[in-house]
Amino acid sequence: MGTTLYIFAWSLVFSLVLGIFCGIGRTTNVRWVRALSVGYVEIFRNIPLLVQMWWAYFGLQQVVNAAINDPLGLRILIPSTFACILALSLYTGAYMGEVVRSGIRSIPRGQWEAATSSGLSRAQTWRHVVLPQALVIVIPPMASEVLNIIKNSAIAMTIAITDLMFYSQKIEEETFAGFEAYTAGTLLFLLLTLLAVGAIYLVQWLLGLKVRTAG
Amino acid sequence: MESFWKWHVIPENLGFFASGFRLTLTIFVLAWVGCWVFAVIFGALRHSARPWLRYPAAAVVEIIRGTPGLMFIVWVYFLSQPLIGYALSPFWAAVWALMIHQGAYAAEVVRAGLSSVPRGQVAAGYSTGLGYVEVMGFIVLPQALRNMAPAVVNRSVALFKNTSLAFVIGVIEFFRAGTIVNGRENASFSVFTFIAAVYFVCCFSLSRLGNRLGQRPGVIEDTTAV
Repeated sequence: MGTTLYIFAWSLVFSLVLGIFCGIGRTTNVRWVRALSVGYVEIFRNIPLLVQMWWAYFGLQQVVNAAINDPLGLRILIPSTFACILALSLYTGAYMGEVVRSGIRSIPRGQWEAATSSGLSRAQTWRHVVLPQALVIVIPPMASEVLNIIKNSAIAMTIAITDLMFYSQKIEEETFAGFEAYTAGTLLFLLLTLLAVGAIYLVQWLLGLKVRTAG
Repeated sequence: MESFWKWHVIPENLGFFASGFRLTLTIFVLAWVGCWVFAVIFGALRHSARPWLRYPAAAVVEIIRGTPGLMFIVWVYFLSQPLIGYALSPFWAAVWALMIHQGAYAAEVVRAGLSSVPRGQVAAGYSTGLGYVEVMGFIVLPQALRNMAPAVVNRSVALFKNTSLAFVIGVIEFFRAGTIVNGRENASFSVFTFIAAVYFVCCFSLSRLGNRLGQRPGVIEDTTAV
């Protein structure tokens, strides 16, 4: 449970930051920023999360081995939680970027013009006019993306499973009860995921109420 | 020192990758068809005016949508024996699970599409003497489908990405083929980069299609990260 929450919390923070920057990046007039954001969104949305996670865990480890460990004689291992958080944040960040972009797009052009004509600079317009409105509009779709982080974190199981398999093999060699240990672990994880999904639904419901009363 | 730059394993195992990709495509096509059958039935039920049809359908869809796809595949595979008394093969378990899981998301698309057609048009259809099938077939569906088209494509991309989850119950589809090659050659960087690139090309070209269909007012957006 601790690990799941840990992964969830960090992925949430990173993907929110990524999503907001990327959403802003996709709506600016600066061409290279826009190209970068579009590239990021398209790449990470069109590759299965499973593949990204395995890439971040196993693929990256080989790069680290070749680039750092072998020449320097170190033994740096990428922790599976790190790979998980990396992949989940990048994946969810791309989706959140799209949500933020549509939020910013929904602010009428007239507001930009009004802000400029009343003497606000570009940065001031973003900070005082556009973002406060856009970020409130996107709360409901964002909440469902947050829920998706929890659901998608189940995929983290697949890169942790090699450890679990490894240990259950060890246990089996010693006690011949590996299957039981493995099943217990899986069931526990399953229960926790469902609990977390329930909790997020609750939060989403509360958020939904709040948004409605505020509007 | 061992290099991570081992691209030679890709051409050497190309036949194996190709067989995995064929299986991925087969799962995708079968699950895609089933997914939209499921979606149309449940979307129509959720859109129905009768509460005894609407609420059970809503419950089914919401419960499935609240479950991670990976868990769903594992459940269908391991619970098929106690539940329906017949042990599904990994392949069919994956097809059924993906079909029902993505079908629940797709049902939401269908429902949104049906509600995007103004109620007045349905009422007008009935008042000119058309029956349910005619109102649906001639008035609601043609308009709903046009609004749904980009979301349908997005769902298909999601389904294609999710076929990789079938690897967890031992179906040797494209991703599992990759993990097997990696286990043999110890070339995770090259293998997983190759796999990611192939998935990207497939999904990106599909989602381009969606973008060409979309980009006009009234269209339903569906950007769920599942």
